[in-house]
Amino acid sequence: MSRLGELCKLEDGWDGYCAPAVSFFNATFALNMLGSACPMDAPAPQIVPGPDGDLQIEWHTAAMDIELHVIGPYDVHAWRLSATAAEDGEEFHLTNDFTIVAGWLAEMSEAAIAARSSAA
Amino acid sequence: MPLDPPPRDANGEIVPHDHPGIGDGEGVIRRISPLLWVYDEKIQAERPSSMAVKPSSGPNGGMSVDLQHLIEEAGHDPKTFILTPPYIGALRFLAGALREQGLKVGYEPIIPANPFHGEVWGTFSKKVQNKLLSIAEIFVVPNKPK
Repeated sequence: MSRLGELCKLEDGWDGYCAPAVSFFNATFALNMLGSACPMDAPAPQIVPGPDGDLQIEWHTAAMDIELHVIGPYDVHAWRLSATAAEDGEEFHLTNDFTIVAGWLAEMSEAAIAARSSAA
Repeated sequence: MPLDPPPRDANGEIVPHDHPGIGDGEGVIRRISPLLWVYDEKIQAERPSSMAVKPSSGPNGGMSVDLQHLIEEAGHDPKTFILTPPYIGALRFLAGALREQGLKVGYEPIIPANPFHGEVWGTFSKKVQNKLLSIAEIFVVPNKPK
C-alpha cells in the first residue's frame, strides 16, 4: 500500500518526459484486485508506474513471470511466461474476473514452496 | 545535420512518421526512471521493467525518446543531457533495430523544452516489448536516491 501511495504522489515528468503520477482510481483498483486474486503466501509483487497514470504489478520468480498492466479500472492486460506457456507467454484482457490470475499466483506460490523444500 | 521538419496534420499536430533523416545506425535514447527497474530472480539482478518500453496512450501515442545525434550536434554529452530529473537512467537502441520490430522512428521536437525529442510509434505487443528489452543497451544506469 505504501508503494501505491508513493506512486500516486509522483511529480509530473517523473519519467524524464511528461508522465503524470499514477491515478488514485487505478491505484485503488489495483489494491482491490490484489486483495481478491493474491493468495496469502504469494511472493510480494513489484509495482511500477506507467506513462499515463497507469501502473503494472509484476512478479519475476525462477518459475515464471507475471505482469498485470492496470490500464484503468476494469481494464487489465494480464500476461504470464512460464515453462509450460507458449514461447511469447499467454495473455488475457481482464475486466472484473481475475480467476486466471489467482490460478497463476497459486502456481507461483506452490513452485516457490517446492523450491524452498528442495533447497532445505 | 539538422532534421527536416516532421509532417503535421491540419491542426499542426505532428503525425506518426518514420523520419528519413534518422539513419538506421543512429542512437535513440530512452530515459528510464529508477522506479522502472525490477528485480528478476532468474538473473538475480535488477533489470528494466517492460513498462520502460511502453508507449503512451492516445491516437498518436508513442514512446518518447531523445535523438542522440541531435544532442551531440548541439554540443552536449548525451549521457549527462538526459539526466533530468536526477537519478534518471537510460536505454539506447539503434534506430534500425527499432525499425526491424516494425516500429517507426520519428522526430518530434518540443520547443523550447526538448528540441532533440523523438517518438517511436507502432504496435508495442508483449513480444515487441520483450524484444526491445533484450536488445537495449544500458546507456546510463540510474542512481537510486538515498
